Amino acid sequence: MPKTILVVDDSASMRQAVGIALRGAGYDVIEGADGQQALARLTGQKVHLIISDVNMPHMDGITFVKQVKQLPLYRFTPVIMLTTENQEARKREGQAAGAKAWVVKPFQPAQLLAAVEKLVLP
Amino acid sequence: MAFPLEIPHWFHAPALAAGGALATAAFASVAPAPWHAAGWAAAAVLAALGAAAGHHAWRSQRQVRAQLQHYLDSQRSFGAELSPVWSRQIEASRSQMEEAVANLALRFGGIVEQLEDTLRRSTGATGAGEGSAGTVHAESQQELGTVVESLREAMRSKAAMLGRVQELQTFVAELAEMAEAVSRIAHQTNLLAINATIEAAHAGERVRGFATVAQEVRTLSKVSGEAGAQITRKIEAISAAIAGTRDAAEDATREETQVLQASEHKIQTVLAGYRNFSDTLATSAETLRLGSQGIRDEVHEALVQLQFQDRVSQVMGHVRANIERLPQVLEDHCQACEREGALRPLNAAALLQELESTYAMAGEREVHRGAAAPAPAAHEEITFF
Repeated sequence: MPKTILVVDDSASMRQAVGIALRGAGYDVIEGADGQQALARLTGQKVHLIISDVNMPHMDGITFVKQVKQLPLYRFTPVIMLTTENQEARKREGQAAGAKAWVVKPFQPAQLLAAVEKLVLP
Repeated sequence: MAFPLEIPHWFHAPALAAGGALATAAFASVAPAPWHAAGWAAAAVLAALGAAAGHHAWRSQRQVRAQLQHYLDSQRSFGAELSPVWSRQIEASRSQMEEAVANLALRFGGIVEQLEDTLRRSTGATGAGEGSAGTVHAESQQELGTVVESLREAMRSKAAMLGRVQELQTFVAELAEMAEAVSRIAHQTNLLAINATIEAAHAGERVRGFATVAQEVRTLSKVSGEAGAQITRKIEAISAAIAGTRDAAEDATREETQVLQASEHKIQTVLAGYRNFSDTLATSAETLRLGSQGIRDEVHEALVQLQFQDRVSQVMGHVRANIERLPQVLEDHCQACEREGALRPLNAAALLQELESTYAMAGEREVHRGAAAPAPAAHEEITFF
């Protein structure tokens, strides 16, 4: 049974790039274009890992992660932040929100997959 | 809001002229007679000059005020008209680029999926799994080997049967000897019966019965001899039939052996041909697989490179938001000028600071501070918390 990963990014091309890398490695991928849409996708859906952008319309990635961590079903779901931001202060915000890793765009598929394999829930 | 002007220095000329005219008139009223008329004339001239200067100043003030108001209005229009156009153009370009790159990424994704599907099928056909060329070859070889072995077994059975037929020939030879023995016994019995008949004739009437018996024995030996001859003829016929059967069987065995060898050779030839074909296919498939893997890796790299769109889109978004702030900044500036009644210099610092505060990437900050366009970002290490 393939594991499911939620990819949240307002850029369709980024979702495509991440999706191709993950599907190629055998994961199922579901997508959200912003934090609100991603929260809606989580309802009743078993998700083994979340990859989220930070700067998004409607609901940014940090707020999204905070809200995910409030949901009992997804409290322990690991989150990787995938963003163009590389400031230490932002990374600390992500860590405080509950993210497990911070990947700066542009990413290398092999590098991202290594992080996913390390963190994805069994 | 109308533009209230400060009174410039040159605007004091009509006041000075009026003051001068009043002073001259006062002087004329108290001056001695020779200066009286001249004083009044000078006062009138000064008053006229003052009035003209005042009028000129008033007109100039109106013109300047109108020009400055026009300038501030044009500044407002500048921001209000230009900013939305810039913003729309940037947003349109950003949207088109995002859409195009997303479509490109989608197509690349389709190519990757097709390549991976082809690779899976190719690996299945030429690999070592069930249904692969190698497996089919091995199974065919085994099946055909079983058929050849069955034919060989049939040949061995036929050879064994031929051996038994040849054994029959031995029995037939023994039977022929036995028939010969019967003939010899019959011949000897006949000679014995003839002698007995002769002896009985010499003995006379007393042994007539014995002569009868001798005659009967002779008759019996004759019958036995004929029977032996018949047996011999039958044995010869059987022997000929067995020899014919053996020869036919030997001929058939030779032919079958040749056919079997030819079949075996053909099977080996066909299997070798199939093996060569499947090997060639496997080599081609391997080349195709390596090529496909190379293309897939290239596409993955292209997808990585397409991530530039996200960065460019963000930068364009930040610049667009800043451009959209321009009309309000200009409006605030105009209002400040109108409120203070003086032209104030436009200060870009606040707008630049706002823009800088929106930056997410180090490259944006570098460009903002005047550095050249940064090199493509290196892939950074992942930070695990």
